[in-house]
Amino acid sequence: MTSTGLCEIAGLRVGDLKTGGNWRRERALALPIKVDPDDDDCFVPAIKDPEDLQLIVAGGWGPCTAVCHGWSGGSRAVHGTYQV
Amino acid sequence: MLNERVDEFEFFLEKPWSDGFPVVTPTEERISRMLAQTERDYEEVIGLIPPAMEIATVRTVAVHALMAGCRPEYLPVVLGATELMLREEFNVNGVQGTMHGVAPMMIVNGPYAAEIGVHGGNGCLGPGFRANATIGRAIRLILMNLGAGIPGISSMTIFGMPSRYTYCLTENMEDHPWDSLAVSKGYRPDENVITMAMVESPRFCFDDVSDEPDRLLLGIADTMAAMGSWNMHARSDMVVAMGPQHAGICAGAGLRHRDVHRPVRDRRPKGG
Repeated sequence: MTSTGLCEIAGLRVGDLKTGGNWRRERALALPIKVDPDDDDCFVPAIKDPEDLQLIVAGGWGPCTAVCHGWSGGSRAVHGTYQV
Repeated sequence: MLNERVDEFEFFLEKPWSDGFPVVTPTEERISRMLAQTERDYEEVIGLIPPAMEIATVRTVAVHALMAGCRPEYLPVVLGATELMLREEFNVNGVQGTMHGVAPMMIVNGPYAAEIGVHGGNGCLGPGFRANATIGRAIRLILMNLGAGIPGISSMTIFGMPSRYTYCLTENMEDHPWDSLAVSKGYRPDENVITMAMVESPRFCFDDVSDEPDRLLLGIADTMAAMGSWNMHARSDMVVAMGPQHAGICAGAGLRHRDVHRPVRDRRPKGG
Protein backbone atom coordinates (compact mmCIF):
# COMPACT_ATOMS: atom_id res chain seq x y z
CA MET A 1 0.00 0.00 0.00
CA THR A 2 1.21 3.48 -0.82
CA SER A 3 2.55 5.62 1.97
CA THR A 4 1.71 8.95 0.42
CA GLY A 5 -1.42 10.82 -0.71
CA LEU A 6 -1.76 13.58 -3.29
CA CYS A 7 -1.64 16.43 -0.77
CA GLU A 8 1.68 15.11 0.49
CA ILE A 9 3.49 14.50 -2.77
CA ALA A 10 2.16 17.18 -5.12
CA GLY A 11 4.58 20.07 -4.90
CA LEU A 12 8.01 21.40 -5.75
CA ARG A 13 11.13 22.40 -3.88
CA VAL A 14 11.86 26.07 -3.41
CA GLY A 15 15.05 25.59 -5.41
CA ASP A 16 13.03 24.29 -8.37
CA LEU A 17 10.42 27.01 -8.10
CA LYS A 18 13.11 29.67 -8.29
CA THR A 19 14.18 28.46 -11.73
CA GLY A 20 11.11 29.67 -13.57
CA GLY A 21 7.44 30.46 -13.52
CA ASN A 22 5.70 32.72 -11.06
CA TRP A 23 8.09 32.50 -8.14
CA ARG A 24 8.42 35.62 -6.01
CA ARG A 25 9.94 35.72 -2.59
CA GLU A 26 7.13 37.87 -1.23
CA ARG A 27 4.54 35.46 -2.55
CA ALA A 28 6.25 32.60 -0.75
CA LEU A 29 6.29 34.60 2.46
CA ALA A 30 2.59 35.42 2.06
CA LEU A 31 1.54 31.77 1.87
CA PRO A 32 -0.64 30.53 4.75
CA ILE A 33 1.92 27.80 5.47
CA LYS A 34 5.52 28.12 6.53
CA VAL A 35 7.84 28.29 3.54
CA ASP A 36 11.46 29.33 3.90
CA PRO A 37 12.40 31.09 0.65
CA ASP A 38 16.06 30.78 1.55
CA ASP A 39 15.93 27.01 1.90
CA ASP A 40 16.12 25.46 -1.56
CA ASP A 41 15.11 22.09 -0.15
CA CYS A 42 11.94 23.39 1.46
CA PHE A 43 8.95 21.55 -0.05
CA VAL A 44 6.05 23.73 -1.24
CA PRO A 45 2.85 21.70 -1.61
CA ALA A 46 0.42 22.48 -4.43
CA ILE A 47 -2.42 22.05 -1.93
CA LYS A 48 -1.94 24.43 0.98
CA ASP A 49 -5.02 23.27 2.87
CA PRO A 50 -6.57 19.82 2.35
CA GLU A 51 -10.00 21.45 2.05
CA ASP A 52 -8.82 23.00 -1.20
CA LEU A 53 -8.56 19.67 -3.03
CA GLN A 54 -11.80 18.32 -4.46
CA LEU A 55 -11.10 14.70 -5.36
CA ILE A 56 -13.77 13.11 -7.52
CA VAL A 57 -14.20 10.10 -9.81
CA ALA A 58 -15.63 10.93 -13.22
CA GLY A 59 -15.25 10.21 -16.89
CA GLY A 60 -15.34 7.00 -18.84
CA TRP A 61 -13.12 3.95 -18.78
CA GLY A 62 -9.51 4.63 -19.71
CA PRO A 63 -6.17 5.48 -18.13
CA CYS A 64 -6.66 9.20 -17.52
CA THR A 65 -7.10 11.67 -14.69
CA ALA A 66 -8.13 15.31 -15.14
CA VAL A 67 -6.42 17.98 -13.06
CA CYS A 68 -8.04 21.39 -12.84
CA HIS A 69 -5.85 24.08 -11.31
CA GLY A 70 -7.23 27.00 -9.37
CA TRP A 71 -7.14 30.77 -9.26
CA SER A 72 -4.84 33.10 -7.38
CA GLY A 73 -7.36 35.57 -6.10
CA GLY A 74 -8.75 33.89 -3.06
CA SER A 75 -11.74 31.78 -3.94
CA ARG A 76 -12.69 28.89 -1.69
CA ALA A 77 -14.80 26.01 -3.00
CA VAL A 78 -18.36 25.96 -1.71
CA HIS A 79 -20.72 23.06 -1.02
CA GLY A 80 -24.40 23.06 -0.25
CA THR A 81 -27.72 21.30 -0.63
CA TYR A 82 -30.48 22.67 -2.83
CA GLN A 83 -34.27 22.48 -2.89
CA VAL A 84 -35.82 19.97 -5.28
CA MET B 1 -40.79 43.96 -30.28
CA LEU B 2 -40.32 40.71 -32.09
CA ASN B 3 -42.40 40.34 -35.19
CA GLU B 4 -42.18 38.77 -38.59
CA ARG B 5 -39.53 41.32 -39.62
CA VAL B 6 -37.20 40.43 -36.76
CA ASP B 7 -35.23 37.22 -36.56
CA GLU B 8 -35.52 36.30 -32.88
CA PHE B 9 -32.17 34.53 -32.81
CA GLU B 10 -30.36 37.44 -34.40
CA PHE B 11 -32.16 39.84 -32.05
CA PHE B 12 -30.58 38.27 -28.98
CA LEU B 13 -27.21 37.86 -30.62
CA GLU B 14 -27.11 41.53 -31.55
CA LYS B 15 -27.72 42.48 -27.92
CA PRO B 16 -25.10 41.67 -25.30
CA TRP B 17 -27.45 38.98 -24.00
CA SER B 18 -25.75 35.85 -25.24
CA ASP B 19 -22.54 33.90 -24.91
CA GLY B 20 -22.23 33.98 -28.68
CA PHE B 21 -24.54 31.08 -29.35
CA PRO B 22 -28.24 31.44 -30.11
CA VAL B 23 -30.48 31.36 -27.06
CA VAL B 24 -33.97 30.02 -26.56
CA THR B 25 -36.34 32.96 -26.80
CA PRO B 26 -37.81 33.50 -23.33
CA THR B 27 -41.48 33.91 -24.19
CA GLU B 28 -43.95 34.29 -21.34
CA GLU B 29 -45.39 30.87 -22.12
CA ARG B 30 -42.01 29.20 -21.87
CA ILE B 31 -41.11 31.11 -18.72
CA SER B 32 -44.36 29.95 -17.11
CA ARG B 33 -43.54 26.34 -17.92
CA MET B 34 -40.08 26.77 -16.40
CA LEU B 35 -41.39 28.44 -13.26
CA ALA B 36 -43.98 25.71 -12.79
CA GLN B 37 -41.07 23.51 -11.74
CA THR B 38 -40.57 25.40 -8.50
CA GLU B 39 -42.82 26.21 -5.58
CA ARG B 40 -40.72 29.23 -4.66
CA ASP B 41 -42.05 32.76 -4.93
CA TYR B 42 -41.11 33.97 -8.39
CA GLU B 43 -40.02 37.34 -7.05
CA GLU B 44 -37.88 35.88 -4.26
CA VAL B 45 -34.47 37.52 -4.39
CA ILE B 46 -31.62 35.05 -4.75
CA GLY B 47 -28.94 37.73 -4.58
CA LEU B 48 -27.05 40.42 -6.45
CA ILE B 49 -24.73 39.30 -9.23
CA PRO B 50 -21.45 41.22 -9.16
CA PRO B 51 -20.02 43.45 -10.37
CA ALA B 52 -23.12 45.03 -11.99
CA MET B 53 -25.17 43.90 -8.98
CA GLU B 54 -28.32 43.27 -10.95
CA ILE B 55 -30.89 41.35 -8.93
CA ALA B 56 -31.23 37.63 -9.45
CA THR B 57 -34.73 36.50 -8.58
CA VAL B 58 -36.29 33.10 -9.04
CA ARG B 59 -37.88 34.51 -12.19
CA THR B 60 -34.72 36.00 -13.72
CA VAL B 61 -32.79 32.82 -12.97
CA ALA B 62 -35.57 30.86 -14.68
CA VAL B 63 -35.35 33.17 -17.70
CA HIS B 64 -31.64 32.49 -18.02
CA ALA B 65 -32.11 28.76 -17.54
CA LEU B 66 -34.63 28.87 -20.34
CA MET B 67 -32.36 30.93 -22.59
CA ALA B 68 -29.56 28.42 -21.97
CA GLY B 69 -31.75 25.56 -23.12
CA CYS B 70 -32.54 23.96 -19.77
CA ARG B 71 -35.47 21.65 -19.30
CA PRO B 72 -37.76 22.87 -16.49
CA GLU B 73 -36.56 20.12 -14.17
CA TYR B 74 -33.05 21.56 -14.28
CA LEU B 75 -34.22 24.78 -12.63
CA PRO B 76 -33.69 23.63 -9.01
CA VAL B 77 -30.03 22.96 -9.79
CA VAL B 78 -29.57 26.36 -11.45
CA LEU B 79 -31.27 28.10 -8.52
CA GLY B 80 -29.14 26.17 -6.04
CA ALA B 81 -25.93 26.96 -7.90
CA THR B 82 -26.80 30.64 -8.17
CA GLU B 83 -27.29 30.87 -4.42
CA LEU B 84 -24.15 28.89 -3.73
CA MET B 85 -21.85 30.93 -5.95
CA LEU B 86 -22.85 34.13 -4.17
CA ARG B 87 -21.28 33.01 -0.91
CA GLU B 88 -18.61 35.48 0.06
CA GLU B 89 -15.80 32.93 0.24
CA PHE B 90 -16.37 31.97 -3.39
CA ASN B 91 -15.42 35.51 -4.44
CA VAL B 92 -17.35 35.53 -7.69
CA ASN B 93 -16.80 39.28 -7.91
CA GLY B 94 -13.06 38.78 -8.12
CA VAL B 95 -13.36 36.11 -10.77
CA GLN B 96 -15.69 38.26 -12.86
CA GLY B 97 -12.95 40.85 -13.28
CA THR B 98 -9.76 38.80 -13.18
CA MET B 99 -7.18 38.53 -15.96
CA HIS B 100 -7.21 34.78 -15.29
CA GLY B 101 -9.74 32.56 -17.00
CA VAL B 102 -11.12 30.26 -14.33
CA ALA B 103 -14.76 29.22 -14.33
CA PRO B 104 -17.09 27.84 -11.68
CA MET B 105 -17.02 24.08 -12.05
CA MET B 106 -20.25 22.55 -10.72
CA ILE B 107 -20.10 19.03 -9.33
CA VAL B 108 -23.68 17.91 -8.78
CA ASN B 109 -24.03 14.97 -6.41
CA GLY B 110 -27.07 13.11 -5.18
CA PRO B 111 -30.11 11.33 -6.58
CA TYR B 112 -31.63 14.34 -8.35
CA ALA B 113 -28.57 14.70 -10.57
CA ALA B 114 -29.09 11.15 -11.79
CA GLU B 115 -32.82 11.70 -12.19
CA ILE B 116 -32.41 14.66 -14.53
CA GLY B 117 -29.52 13.18 -16.45
CA VAL B 118 -26.47 15.08 -15.30
CA HIS B 119 -23.70 13.02 -16.81
CA GLY B 120 -20.52 11.85 -15.08
CA GLY B 121 -19.27 9.15 -17.40
CA ASN B 122 -17.67 8.94 -20.84
CA GLY B 123 -17.14 12.44 -22.24
CA CYS B 124 -18.75 14.22 -19.29
CA LEU B 125 -16.76 17.45 -19.69
CA GLY B 126 -17.47 17.67 -23.39
CA PRO B 127 -20.44 18.15 -25.69
CA GLY B 128 -23.43 15.89 -26.03
CA PHE B 129 -25.19 16.01 -22.68
CA ARG B 130 -28.02 18.47 -22.34
CA ALA B 131 -28.07 18.80 -18.57
CA ASN B 132 -24.31 19.38 -18.36
CA ALA B 133 -24.36 21.76 -21.31
CA THR B 134 -27.30 23.89 -20.32
CA ILE B 135 -27.08 24.05 -16.52
CA GLY B 136 -23.53 25.34 -16.72
CA ARG B 137 -24.48 27.65 -19.58
CA ALA B 138 -27.30 29.12 -17.50
CA ILE B 139 -24.79 30.08 -14.82
CA ARG B 140 -22.57 31.72 -17.44
CA LEU B 141 -25.48 33.70 -18.92
CA ILE B 142 -26.40 34.89 -15.41
CA LEU B 143 -22.80 35.99 -14.82
CA MET B 144 -22.80 37.85 -18.14
CA ASN B 145 -26.30 39.32 -18.27
CA LEU B 146 -26.93 40.11 -14.60
CA GLY B 147 -23.32 40.50 -13.53
CA ALA B 148 -21.86 42.11 -16.68
CA GLY B 149 -18.96 39.68 -16.65
CA ILE B 150 -18.31 40.47 -20.28
CA PRO B 151 -14.81 40.65 -21.76
CA GLY B 152 -13.89 44.24 -22.42
CA ILE B 153 -16.62 45.52 -20.12
CA SER B 154 -15.78 44.27 -16.65
CA SER B 155 -13.94 41.04 -17.37
CA MET B 156 -10.22 41.50 -17.97
CA THR B 157 -9.65 37.82 -18.74
CA ILE B 158 -6.69 37.39 -21.07
CA PHE B 159 -7.88 34.28 -22.87
CA GLY B 160 -11.16 33.24 -21.32
CA MET B 161 -11.58 29.50 -21.48
CA PRO B 162 -13.82 26.94 -23.22
CA SER B 163 -15.10 25.95 -19.77
CA ARG B 164 -16.61 29.41 -19.48
CA TYR B 165 -19.39 28.23 -21.78
CA THR B 166 -20.36 25.48 -19.37
CA TYR B 167 -18.63 23.52 -16.60
CA CYS B 168 -21.04 21.06 -15.02
CA LEU B 169 -20.83 17.36 -14.31
CA THR B 170 -21.60 14.72 -11.75
CA GLU B 171 -19.43 11.84 -10.60
CA ASN B 172 -19.42 8.45 -12.27
CA MET B 173 -21.18 6.63 -9.47
CA GLU B 174 -21.60 3.43 -11.51
CA ASP B 175 -17.85 2.90 -11.66
CA HIS B 176 -16.92 4.73 -8.47
CA PRO B 177 -14.92 2.72 -5.96
CA TRP B 178 -15.56 5.15 -3.11
CA ASP B 179 -18.25 7.40 -1.74
CA SER B 180 -19.03 10.59 -3.61
CA LEU B 181 -17.34 13.91 -2.95
CA ALA B 182 -20.45 15.11 -1.13
CA VAL B 183 -20.40 12.13 1.22
CA SER B 184 -16.70 12.71 1.84
CA LYS B 185 -17.70 16.22 2.96
CA GLY B 186 -20.20 14.85 5.46
CA TYR B 187 -23.45 14.88 3.48
CA ARG B 188 -25.75 11.86 3.30
CA PRO B 189 -25.86 9.88 0.03
CA ASP B 190 -29.52 10.80 -0.42
CA GLU B 191 -28.89 14.54 -0.16
CA ASN B 192 -28.73 16.66 -3.29
CA VAL B 193 -25.51 18.62 -3.09
CA ILE B 194 -23.64 21.00 -5.37
CA THR B 195 -19.94 21.72 -5.07
CA MET B 196 -18.54 24.71 -6.93
CA ALA B 197 -14.86 25.42 -7.41
CA MET B 198 -13.19 28.15 -9.46
CA VAL B 199 -10.79 26.22 -11.62
CA GLU B 200 -9.13 26.11 -15.01
CA SER B 201 -10.02 23.71 -17.78
CA PRO B 202 -8.58 20.24 -17.18
CA ARG B 203 -5.01 19.25 -17.82
CA PHE B 204 -4.92 15.53 -18.43
CA CYS B 205 -2.60 13.07 -16.79
CA PHE B 206 -2.66 10.15 -19.18
CA ASP B 207 -0.99 7.08 -17.69
CA ASP B 208 -1.50 3.66 -19.22
CA VAL B 209 1.64 2.27 -17.65
CA SER B 210 1.19 2.49 -13.89
CA ASP B 211 -0.61 -0.44 -12.36
CA GLU B 212 -0.01 0.39 -8.72
CA PRO B 213 -0.81 3.54 -6.74
CA ASP B 214 2.64 4.86 -5.88
CA ARG B 215 3.71 5.29 -9.47
CA LEU B 216 0.26 6.42 -10.61
CA LEU B 217 -0.13 9.09 -7.94
CA LEU B 218 3.36 10.42 -8.58
CA GLY B 219 2.40 11.24 -12.16
CA ILE B 220 -0.86 12.86 -11.09
CA ALA B 221 0.99 14.82 -8.40
CA ASP B 222 3.46 16.09 -11.01
CA THR B 223 0.54 17.39 -13.09
CA MET B 224 -0.87 19.08 -9.99
CA ALA B 225 2.44 20.84 -9.30
CA ALA B 226 2.85 22.61 -12.65
CA MET B 227 5.20 25.55 -12.15
CA GLY B 228 2.96 27.91 -14.12
CA SER B 229 -0.15 27.12 -12.12
CA TRP B 230 -1.27 29.41 -9.33
CA ASN B 231 -1.47 26.44 -7.01
CA MET B 232 2.28 26.60 -6.61
CA HIS B 233 2.32 30.27 -5.66
CA ALA B 234 -0.86 30.95 -3.70
CA ARG B 235 -3.49 29.13 -1.71
CA SER B 236 -5.80 27.94 -4.42
CA ASP B 237 -8.47 25.35 -5.08
CA MET B 238 -7.98 22.32 -7.29
CA VAL B 239 -10.24 19.62 -8.67
CA VAL B 240 -8.72 16.24 -9.42
CA ALA B 241 -11.11 14.01 -11.35
CA MET B 242 -9.72 10.51 -11.40
CA GLY B 243 -11.00 8.34 -14.18
CA PRO B 244 -12.61 5.15 -12.87
CA GLN B 245 -9.67 3.10 -14.11
CA HIS B 246 -7.13 5.16 -12.17
CA ALA B 247 -9.34 5.26 -9.10
CA GLY B 248 -9.77 1.51 -9.40
CA ILE B 249 -6.01 0.98 -9.30
CA CYS B 250 -5.93 2.82 -5.98
CA ALA B 251 -8.99 1.12 -4.55
CA GLY B 252 -7.72 -2.27 -5.70
CA ALA B 253 -4.61 -1.71 -3.61
CA GLY B 254 -6.75 -0.99 -0.58
CA LEU B 255 -6.63 2.80 -0.69
CA ARG B 256 -9.66 4.73 0.44
CA HIS B 257 -10.66 8.17 -0.83
CA ARG B 258 -9.06 9.80 2.18
CA ASP B 259 -5.85 7.86 1.66
CA VAL B 260 -5.46 9.22 -1.87
CA HIS B 261 -6.40 12.71 -0.69
CA ARG B 262 -4.38 12.63 2.53
CA PRO B 263 -3.50 16.00 4.05
CA VAL B 264 0.03 17.17 4.51
CA ARG B 265 1.30 16.14 7.90
CA ASP B 266 3.98 17.83 9.91
CA ARG B 267 3.28 21.12 8.17
CA ARG B 268 2.15 23.66 10.66
CA PRO B 269 0.19 26.76 9.68
CA LYS B 270 1.85 30.08 10.28
CA GLY B 271 1.94 30.89 13.94
CA GLY B 272 1.43 27.25 14.79
